[in-house]
Amino acid sequence: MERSDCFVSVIAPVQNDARIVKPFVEEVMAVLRQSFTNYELVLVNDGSTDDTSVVVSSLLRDYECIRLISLSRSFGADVAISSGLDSVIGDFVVVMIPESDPPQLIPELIETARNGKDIVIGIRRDRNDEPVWMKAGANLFYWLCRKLFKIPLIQNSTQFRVLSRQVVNAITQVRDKSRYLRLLGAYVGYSSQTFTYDFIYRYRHRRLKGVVELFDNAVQIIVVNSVRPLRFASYLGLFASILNVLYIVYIALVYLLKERVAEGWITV
Amino acid sequence: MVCRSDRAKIPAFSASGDYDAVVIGGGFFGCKIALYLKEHLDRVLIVEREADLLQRASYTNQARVHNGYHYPRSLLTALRSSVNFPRFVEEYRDCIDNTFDKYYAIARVFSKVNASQFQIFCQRIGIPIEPAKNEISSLFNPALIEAVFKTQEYAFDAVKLKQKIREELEREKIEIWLNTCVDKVQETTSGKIKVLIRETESERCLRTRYLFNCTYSQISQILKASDLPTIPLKYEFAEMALVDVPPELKSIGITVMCGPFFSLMPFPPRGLHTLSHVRYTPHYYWQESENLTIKAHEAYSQIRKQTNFPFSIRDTIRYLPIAAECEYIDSLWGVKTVLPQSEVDDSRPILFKQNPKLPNLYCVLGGKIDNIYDIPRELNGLHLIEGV
Repeated sequence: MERSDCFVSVIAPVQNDARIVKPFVEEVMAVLRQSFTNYELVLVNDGSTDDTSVVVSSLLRDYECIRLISLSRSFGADVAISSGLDSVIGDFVVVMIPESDPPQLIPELIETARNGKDIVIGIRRDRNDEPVWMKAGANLFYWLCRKLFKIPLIQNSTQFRVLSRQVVNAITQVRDKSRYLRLLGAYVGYSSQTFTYDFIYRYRHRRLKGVVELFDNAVQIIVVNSVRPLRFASYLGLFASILNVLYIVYIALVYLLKERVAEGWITV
Repeated sequence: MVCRSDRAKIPAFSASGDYDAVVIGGGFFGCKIALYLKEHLDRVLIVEREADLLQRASYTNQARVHNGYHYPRSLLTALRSSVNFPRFVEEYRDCIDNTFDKYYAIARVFSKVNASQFQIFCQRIGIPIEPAKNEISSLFNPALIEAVFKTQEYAFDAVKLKQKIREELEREKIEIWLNTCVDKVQETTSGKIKVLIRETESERCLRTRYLFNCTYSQISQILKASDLPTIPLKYEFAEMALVDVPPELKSIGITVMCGPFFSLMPFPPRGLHTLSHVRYTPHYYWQESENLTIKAHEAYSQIRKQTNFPFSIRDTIRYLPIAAECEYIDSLWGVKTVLPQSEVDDSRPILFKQNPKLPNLYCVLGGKIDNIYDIPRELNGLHLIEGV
């Protein structure tokens, strides 16, 4: 296959992934070498407590064009990916999670991006590997986002995506502290397209997040990205004050129009 | 060992083949050392492998005369640079290109220094610094660059430098053998050093009292061939991309501090700029040990020279969007020797080492061109003896 003449950067956050990072890197590098003239792989160590950094350090010696960014502590995948975005140099940037996203799709996605789509967003086909409560929670969350909070979040979209250089430049200019990249992508605009794919499982059992963490995430996303909760509170306050004013008017009328009013009822 | 020997250019053997001092390596350091030695000794010879002087590290480099700006994290190194800078500029005024403005930009992320720290640092050691004019700072991407400062730093023209040095050598009547490689050296019973010179078919030898090994990336090679204790060094195979810059950048030099960033410096001999990048300029590195030496010269000819320009320019464009208009011309390649930390301390930024088995053999290695001013002090300590 002809290698396409563009520079592709791949960003992958790793956290306690010592067991899977090697096969992941092997696969990604094989795909990149075969498909592109220039490429780089940027691994971001998100405060791993196992020997991920040791494994990656040895990989740095074995492969060309791999870089490692180590965060001082764990900040979460979004911040990890953001720091990667601050550093990559490619014309197109692929973001992927080693545990679940298949590297074999990269050439096809890059082709889509080269044909004029600045953002190519991955959507997982199903959530069959998750317990029922999690699926229900996710559905509820997406429904709320869509109907109530008007947050332009695509249902079941993942971190797996391709961004053009323009989009990366735009995202790196946003200096908000909270970084939810799936939304930042939508926030900066540009033309986008989705693709549906099946998760791969490098771990026999996928590591799922706890319910508290997920709930926190959801609240965070809603609070940061929608003014609606704030507006609801304002409207509620306004509504309550209107009720109060009406009540005051009622009391004043009672005082003025009625003759025998119980003593002390109208005084404060 | 590749040895382009040209008999016609080698001058006739001097009467006895005896010298007071032989300097191996006709780079800037070798030539200057020969000049210093000539002040004390009568018969001084320079032996150079290439067909001309100042061809390797003195040429394939950034051509920067440091004024200290590069070392915000080592005040003493910076101060020393700022002391040597005016000396070098004064001594080699004709070889200095001061027609361009030099800017230092401070990166926002991944930088080890921020704008105010850099400014305070420059003020402390007393080197000129002022905020860049808007027309310059607006060339940079404000999301990635915190501040841009105008500074005072020059480039030297290695070709003019070579001519000047050659005139000095001629004036002092220092012999130069070009196209000549030293094979090995031996101790003789009279306490002198025998230097074996290899040519295409035959060998020659000469004798000298003092021998200076100024071969930069070949230092260990000669020691190894002579069965002498080596100095384990680290080497880097480095690339400087030569680019033709857009008009806005023609008369300026830019360095982004302080971390994995780039430098776009004028390269006077070619009328172009060099683009170097902390991450992409070194292609390979290797570390020698007591038992393992690698022939840097062979490595140089064998290593695949595939440019990293697509990498370095892409990163450069992120910080300096106008760099997208740079046109790649070609690259300067070279093996750089990294000074071992154990040899360098704050008072002596050079390697100046007497060989333990052959006391009159000295290995000299400097990191920057203006480190030359740290050499005389070491030479004065030697109490050179003249005579055959």
